[in-house]
Amino acid sequence: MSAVLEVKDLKMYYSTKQGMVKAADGISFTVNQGESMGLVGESGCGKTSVSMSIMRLLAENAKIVGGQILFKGQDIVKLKEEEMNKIRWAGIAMIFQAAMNSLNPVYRVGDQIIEAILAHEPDVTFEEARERVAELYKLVGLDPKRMDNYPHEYSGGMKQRAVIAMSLACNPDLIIADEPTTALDVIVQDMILKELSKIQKKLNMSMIYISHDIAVIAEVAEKIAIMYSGKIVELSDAVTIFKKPAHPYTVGLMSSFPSIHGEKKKLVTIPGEPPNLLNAPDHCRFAPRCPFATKECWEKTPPYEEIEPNHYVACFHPQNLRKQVSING
Amino acid sequence: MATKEIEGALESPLTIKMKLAWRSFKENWKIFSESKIGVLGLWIVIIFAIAGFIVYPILAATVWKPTLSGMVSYDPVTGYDFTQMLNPAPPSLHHLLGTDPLGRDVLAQLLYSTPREFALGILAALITVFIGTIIGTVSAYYGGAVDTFFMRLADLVLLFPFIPFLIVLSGMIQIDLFRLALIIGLISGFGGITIVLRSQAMIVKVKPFIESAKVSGASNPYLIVNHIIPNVMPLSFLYMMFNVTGAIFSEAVLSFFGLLNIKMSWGLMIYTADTAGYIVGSNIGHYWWLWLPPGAAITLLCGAFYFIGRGLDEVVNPRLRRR
Amino acid sequence: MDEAKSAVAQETVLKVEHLKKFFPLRKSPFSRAKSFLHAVDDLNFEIKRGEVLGLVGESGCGKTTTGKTLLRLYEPTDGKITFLGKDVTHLKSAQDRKWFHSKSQMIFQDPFESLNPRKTIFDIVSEPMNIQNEGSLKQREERVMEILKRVGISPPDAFLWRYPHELSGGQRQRVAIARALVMNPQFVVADEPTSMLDVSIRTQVMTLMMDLIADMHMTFIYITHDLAVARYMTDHIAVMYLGRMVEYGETEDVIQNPLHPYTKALISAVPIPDPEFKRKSLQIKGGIGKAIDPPKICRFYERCPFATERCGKEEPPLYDVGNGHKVACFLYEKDGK
Repeated sequence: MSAVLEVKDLKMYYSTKQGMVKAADGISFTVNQGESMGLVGESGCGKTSVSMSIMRLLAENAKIVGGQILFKGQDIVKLKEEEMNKIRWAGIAMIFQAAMNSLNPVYRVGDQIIEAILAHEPDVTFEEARERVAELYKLVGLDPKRMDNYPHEYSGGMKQRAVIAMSLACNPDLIIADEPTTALDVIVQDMILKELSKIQKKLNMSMIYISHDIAVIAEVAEKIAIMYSGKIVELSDAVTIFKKPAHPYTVGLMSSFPSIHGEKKKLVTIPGEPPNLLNAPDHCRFAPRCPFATKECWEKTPPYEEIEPNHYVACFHPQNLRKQVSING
Repeated sequence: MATKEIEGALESPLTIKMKLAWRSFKENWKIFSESKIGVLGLWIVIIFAIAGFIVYPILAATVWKPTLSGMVSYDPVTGYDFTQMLNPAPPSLHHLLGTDPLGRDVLAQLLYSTPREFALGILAALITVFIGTIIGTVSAYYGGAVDTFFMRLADLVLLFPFIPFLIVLSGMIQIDLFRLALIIGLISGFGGITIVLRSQAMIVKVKPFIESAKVSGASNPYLIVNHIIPNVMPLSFLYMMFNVTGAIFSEAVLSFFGLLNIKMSWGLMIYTADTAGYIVGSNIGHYWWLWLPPGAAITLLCGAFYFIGRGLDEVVNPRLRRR
Repeated sequence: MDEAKSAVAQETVLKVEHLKKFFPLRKSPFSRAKSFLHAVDDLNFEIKRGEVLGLVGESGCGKTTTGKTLLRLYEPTDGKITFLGKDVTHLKSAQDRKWFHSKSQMIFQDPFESLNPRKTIFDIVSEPMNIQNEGSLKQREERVMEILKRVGISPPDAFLWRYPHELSGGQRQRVAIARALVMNPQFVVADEPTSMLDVSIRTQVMTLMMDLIADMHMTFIYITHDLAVARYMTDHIAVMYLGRMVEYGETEDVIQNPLHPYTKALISAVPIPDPEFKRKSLQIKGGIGKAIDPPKICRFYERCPFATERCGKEEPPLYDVGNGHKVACFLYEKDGK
């Protein structure tokens, strides 16, 4: 398996009047060809900042201050804007949060996708592009006849499918989906998730799926990264994350999530609130909420280490914790 | 963020409310002071206020006192300088801004008019905002026939030929400054500002905190007074600033046509110079001290209130803030 | 139903009979309505003291309208609501209104929008007492401090004079809960109170609400689209589809053994936080529509994979299949009473 995207020690900070906001602070992960990775975290933990850094769609006051983002071996942090424009859509495509609203209401949906294709591939004729859109419509489960409809004639789920079709238009190697189903009802969400997974496998694409909902992530991702306060605290394959979580935050997240499947367990709460990213402290950021925190945790930041093959954790006390969990569960 | 925490139980509701008001004033002042144009406007207004409310009374009681200055009279309305051979006279040591065609001191006229311009502008704006806020919120809240009535009325008032109406009216009644403020206040109160405040009230009306109060059994007047008005108030205040500008401007226009029954105002100064034939042809450059000071005063003061409004806009509309 | 159990201490607090709420669809405020949106159509249920009823369904199913109609934010089109033995369908007299509004409350979805940004926490929490003219200023202050402490805002006096924007999302929702409970209501409707909160905060607020319901013996209606949350929060679940109740029963019963095809589809679509568990979802056609002047047939007819000819001709009544589990589907005609 070859790596499509390698993020190495990415640091992206926002400068505000109150100080530095370290939205992504030393993020490292790899996404291989055909792999889908889930990026989980609560609002304000920096997960969207990571995706925006990869797309290089940064706000005025945001800056990548360190690290590398290697897309097929090429460091896109250093690319010029024109070169980056070629990679967006054609190399890395993104499905945004509330993507349904990203369709322009005054143009036909099909034409918007055709326009995106023509903008990136000048050699393609209009007819070829139209044919490709029809193919894409079939792929995402839409009737190609609906191409000539306007966005308001689509339901929420159909708009979301159209946006997925648009993101696939230039055959990207990597798709970043940022909470694409958050605004949808369960039944529609279920259909979209299934469709997305199916297409991803069929085209052997790589995908980064960003969500706060670990149940959704469990459905789509083979590999999961848990983010907390600008850092990845744990990264491993999905089963390990769910069955043998090592970081106390991951453990807390798993036991605080209600499920309709299986026995009704008592929900365990994580005390306290997520920290502000502004002027983040130099010690472990989860320490104030962590039941296992020791003096060490309040003094320095735990290193992000591979504690067993393909299982990365940033915690001083992952081992004993794992024993405890396996005894209980 | 919050400046200083106000802690503790009810020491006394009034002192707490005062502290809270002071705190939110300080926060808002911080945002306002970041807007250069707003601060500039505020400075101009302060300078005018000092000139009109402090400098003029002092001058009138000291150097400009008839007994002290002998033959030279500085009364802005009736004064006549007997030492001057020809009137209007250009600026001199005695008359820093010269005299007008009737031999009156231009600077004295300018300063004398300033407090009156303030009074007119602010009174008219207060009436406008009072009417606009009440009608806007009531229309938005009750909707239906009430809303339709007031909105169609606003359309009519907006299309109303304001100046011709005042010309006719001035033939029937004497329009002094107070009446003018009342008329301007009523007309703009039922007009444009109502529509703006109504649309703001419509946004507030559908907020869940309104339903939340309804669930507790709140009556309609309670909701309007306690929830809707406080949330449209900042916008009302903003429009008040723009209305001051409008009122001063209208006064100048009407005075220029000689339609008002007032002793002295900036508009009237220009009117006097104009009717005596000093603002026509080549005279306009020659007798500049007759029209430039009042003209500049009108422009500056109107502009200053508008600038303050622009600065307040950043306080009221958070989306305009640069963060 | 368990007769012995219900006879002991379980008093019926709220009884809803044939509740209907139709919204007229007009072109202008002066034209006559030609058609009606049947947001809530013929709802029947009752809730006992201390019981939590979950209203679940997709957006547009009428669950929020039901909650708001019960609290009299909307005037019911038809039907009868009985609260503590008293008919509160129309609340004609001021005295009745005062009585009802001091005993019922609502918790809203968005904790920022439901608190007036220009009021302090004290003003917000004491407002229900203020509106009802309850207690002196001193008593109000004591009560506000007490309830803030109860919902986990501590120390309460450090928060009294803050504004909502100075609080985090979780704290704001706690304040909204404090406000709802400040007058010890007997009946509370919570409309998706945790859907805007972060995962870790959501569990805190859910646990807090469960504690409060048990402590204060409140009757609760919990409106949610999230069945996993409903499983933890509620005793009974009513599944709504296009204004109608399609299934009702004890929460575990409905979740483990859904009967109505719509409930089956809904439950099978809920993602499970377990990567090894492979769900089999029941695929249904189309999307949720709008009940505008609906014909008298099963409202799920067009999307139902099990629909028969009869479903397109008549409307199924609620069949009781035992243990209070009711379902509006002809498939259960034989089992039901």
